[in-house]
Amino acid sequence: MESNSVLPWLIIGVPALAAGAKVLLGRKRPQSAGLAAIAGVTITLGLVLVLAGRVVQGEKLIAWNGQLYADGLSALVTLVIGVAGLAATVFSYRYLRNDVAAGKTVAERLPFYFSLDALFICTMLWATLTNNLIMLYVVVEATTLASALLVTFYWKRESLEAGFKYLLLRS
Amino acid sequence: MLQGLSLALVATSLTALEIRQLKYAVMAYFAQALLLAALLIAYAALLPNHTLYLWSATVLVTKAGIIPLLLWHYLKRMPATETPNALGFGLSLLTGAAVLAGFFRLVDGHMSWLAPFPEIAGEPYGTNLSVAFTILAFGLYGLLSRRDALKAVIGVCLIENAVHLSLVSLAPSLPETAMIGVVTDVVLSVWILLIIVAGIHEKVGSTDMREMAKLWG
Repeated sequence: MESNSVLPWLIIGVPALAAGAKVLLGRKRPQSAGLAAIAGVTITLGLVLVLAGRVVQGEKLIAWNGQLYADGLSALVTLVIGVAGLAATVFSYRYLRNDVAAGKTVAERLPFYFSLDALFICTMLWATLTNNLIMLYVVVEATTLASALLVTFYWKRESLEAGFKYLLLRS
Repeated sequence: MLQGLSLALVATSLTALEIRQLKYAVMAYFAQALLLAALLIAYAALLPNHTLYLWSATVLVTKAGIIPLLLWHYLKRMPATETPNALGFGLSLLTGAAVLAGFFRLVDGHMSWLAPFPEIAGEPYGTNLSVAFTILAFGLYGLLSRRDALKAVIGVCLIENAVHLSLVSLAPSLPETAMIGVVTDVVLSVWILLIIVAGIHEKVGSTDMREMAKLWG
């Protein structure tokens, strides 16, 4: 059974909104960006769980005139992305706080990290939910761009080298 | 006329790779983008396929507009002349001629097998496809053989141009929105590459690819 639903939209939209909000909010209180990121990814994981529950009952969700489509496989993969994304965000919150304390990076750059993290999760979820082969290519390329900036986050010699090579190989 | 434009495209990609002054290499890339837009208009009038006019406009805005401006902007911070290469001009010319001849032969004999549907098996699709393959080979060659990081970025741009050109033959019915999506990705990835190259220049002091060997083994 196929049914129109706003859920696929929300699953992509929440991390995208969170990414934008972190850049705006993080200017004043950079330390709070991590908590906002965890909240955003948790909401996304909740939406993914609802989607998975509905798909398990035999529904196939469609949104945006068939541009977004969720079946069993995409429910499984979005679930994996949601769980892994939440784990990575929670881990990097503590990890980066230690890094800031150790002087490896500055607190002002944390909102940038967490908004890229949210953008990366958004594009990965979009890639699993899209119903268009060209959009799949475009969105997978967008995941590369977000993750390339994450690779070069420390802006050291090694990380810049790694990011350059990663982009050359993947683009 | 189409053949002339196509061969001019090959010549500009060779120029963009071989000129030592990075300023002129970017200009050669700009010229290639203009030629690509002209070629797309020529195909649009010849076939006739009206989506190709839109493709041409997209190429004009992004590849002849945004990407050369980005390259030009980041060029100002880099040394004017590229890092010397291992392979000289003669070898590049020889490889280029051999690759072009090889692809013409391949496409000539196997066009019916390469074309997705029979209507587009003849000319000018064959020439277009072999030129696209040749520019792709040039881009890959530049990516692998140039030691200057900015030349590697130009190599990536050449590959993207070749893909754009081959789509005229392989997927002429592609909608314009998809084209804009693909092109936006290209512009963003070139931009991020240039930001990273500028960062490398700031940290390392050169844009020599051999300097980027800290992560070996």
